[in-house]
Amino acid sequence: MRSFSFFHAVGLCALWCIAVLIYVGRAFVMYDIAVTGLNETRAKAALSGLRTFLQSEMDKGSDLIQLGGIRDRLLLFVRQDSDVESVLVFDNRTGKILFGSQSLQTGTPVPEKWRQKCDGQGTFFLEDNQDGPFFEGKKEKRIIGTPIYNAFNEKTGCVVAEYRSDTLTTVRNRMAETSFATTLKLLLIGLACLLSVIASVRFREKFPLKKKEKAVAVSLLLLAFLSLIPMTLGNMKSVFESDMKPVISGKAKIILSLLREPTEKAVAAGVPLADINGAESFFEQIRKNNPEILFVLLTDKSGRVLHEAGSAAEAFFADKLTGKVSLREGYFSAAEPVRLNEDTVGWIQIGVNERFVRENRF
Amino acid sequence: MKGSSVKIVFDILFVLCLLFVRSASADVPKRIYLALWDGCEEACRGFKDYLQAERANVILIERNAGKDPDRIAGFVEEIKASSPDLLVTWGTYLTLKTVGTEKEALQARFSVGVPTVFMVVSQPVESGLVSALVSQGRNMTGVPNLVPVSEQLQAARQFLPFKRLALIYNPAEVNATVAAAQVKKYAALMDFEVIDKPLLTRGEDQADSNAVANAVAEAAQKKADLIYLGPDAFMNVQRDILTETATSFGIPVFSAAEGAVRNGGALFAYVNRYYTVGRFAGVKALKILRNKVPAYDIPIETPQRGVYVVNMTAATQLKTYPPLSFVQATDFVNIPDNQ
Repeated sequence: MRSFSFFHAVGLCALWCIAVLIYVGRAFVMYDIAVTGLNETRAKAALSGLRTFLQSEMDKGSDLIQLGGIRDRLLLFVRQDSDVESVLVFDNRTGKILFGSQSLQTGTPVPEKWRQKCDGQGTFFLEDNQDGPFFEGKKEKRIIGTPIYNAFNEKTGCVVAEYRSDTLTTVRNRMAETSFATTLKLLLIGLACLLSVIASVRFREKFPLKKKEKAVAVSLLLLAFLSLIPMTLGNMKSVFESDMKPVISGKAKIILSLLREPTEKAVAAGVPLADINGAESFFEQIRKNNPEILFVLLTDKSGRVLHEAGSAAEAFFADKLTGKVSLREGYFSAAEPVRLNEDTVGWIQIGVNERFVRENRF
Repeated sequence: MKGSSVKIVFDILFVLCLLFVRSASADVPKRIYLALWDGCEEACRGFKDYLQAERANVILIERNAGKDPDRIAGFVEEIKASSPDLLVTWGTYLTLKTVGTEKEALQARFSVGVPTVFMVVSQPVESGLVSALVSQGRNMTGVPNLVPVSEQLQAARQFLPFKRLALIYNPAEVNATVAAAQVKKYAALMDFEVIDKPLLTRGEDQADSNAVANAVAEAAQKKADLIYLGPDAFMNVQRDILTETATSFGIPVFSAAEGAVRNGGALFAYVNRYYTVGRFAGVKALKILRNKVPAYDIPIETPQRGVYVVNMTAATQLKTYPPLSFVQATDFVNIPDNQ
């Protein structure tokens, strides 16, 4: 300790700064990837659902242009996701819009590069853009499209959705602020530790303590400061998870609609909710494609569970005194009614583990 | 010098003439002779819609036999006389009567000498129209309407995981025996047991209708999970006896054609829609006319995606419903009134 010099202090400071920046930076990147992934899979899941609907309708015996009731379906698509600005379906041959959530778009040609991208390889195409005929205003927008195939595997058209990217930008900005604040806190903790060590060396004569007592006092002080580190890091992750909530709930809403649509179609055709065939495997497939989803439940209107995938028990706890069942911290749950002729016949509920990044990546 | 100038002028005029002739020939509409059995139904509509969507420069010479076999000979004479650019035929019977089987193709009455696209021919190989679906020698291609048996069985299994499949068919019918043989071929591969119930024949091609109910009862005794109703004219007439008896034993019926589901008591079918078949025939027609691909180089194939047709009245009686993952691609028919 006697050889502890100014250079040692500077060196330690630099090392601590580097360690903090690496850890916080890595955490930010992990959560940012998760947020971007959630946002992208939400859009892709919604577009896949719309594409499946259009293809199924075509398979029943009509051309894309002849399909009826598509505008209502497109309007529903826009209503389901607050980030969707508009959605349209264009003909691959002519490049003209056949159906659009904005009626004025119908008949307008789409940009040539959309046609080229639709004709290209891959199931989805993405494009970030800020201007052009379909980008009014100054908001940042993102285009996601997917080709529509007919029953003989010919690309007949493309469904394209315009997404606002400001929600994602807001979440990212909040996460950046959280990262900055956490970095500052950790640097201050490091500085406090360093200062306590320096103080114990520099002013050892002024403290009338024995050598052993002094060591214990310094150790306790260091321990107090160091114990703040995991607390600060845990708090950072919790704030990140809280920042992610709008994205998680947005995706949950899309997944719920993907589950509700076939369920309502089956019920409308006369399948009793309790007798729905293959519900568990269908739900399990959705969970497999969206690993943040902890459970999917299909209940009757009184809340009795009829079909279940995943572990709902993990997300809930019952109060020992009152018996009231509540959601545990770190889990998000959303539900939508299953309707038949405007009557609610059941509920679809999904649970999302908000800590999936923490549990899977750290 | 003067002579060479004249030659140059003539050369230029010659080249311009060639270009004019070439562009004029490209603009000449192609003539398609469309031979129909019973008017322009869904497949014909799909075919026409596809040509229209593709803005094909064609003249359609549409002829309708009106289910009268005697008119077909007249079609053949007209085709030979007018030499259209393409012949499109509808249905197995009309196609065979127009262009003959592969063995008959060299006979004078069938040599129409025109590339042909057929549609709604259930079994082109088994009916003798062509020797194979790909790499066959006739100047012909087309779109069968029946989903291949292997795909039908896979679709049936995804709907209802069966272990024992009962085959009840008229052994006097070629289509029915061919389908039965194919089902038996796939049984080992797909690991299911076939309960083979060819019906007793009365005379040359008539099976005993009473035998249908007995065959179903025997299949039930052998614990059949599903009954396969193939392309079988006799069974199609007897399908109500078949489905009613099967339902009374709690056995679902899977049909190769949607008629038995839509208008009968069969539980489900996995089919190609005629409209889609017609559109696909349009794709093949334009490959021949626009891209100059020889018809024999274009594979004979069905559309790649079929549709489940589910009879909800039968489903409710049997308490057997389609899996949720198929619901979006399912056409529900005969939905009970209380829904």
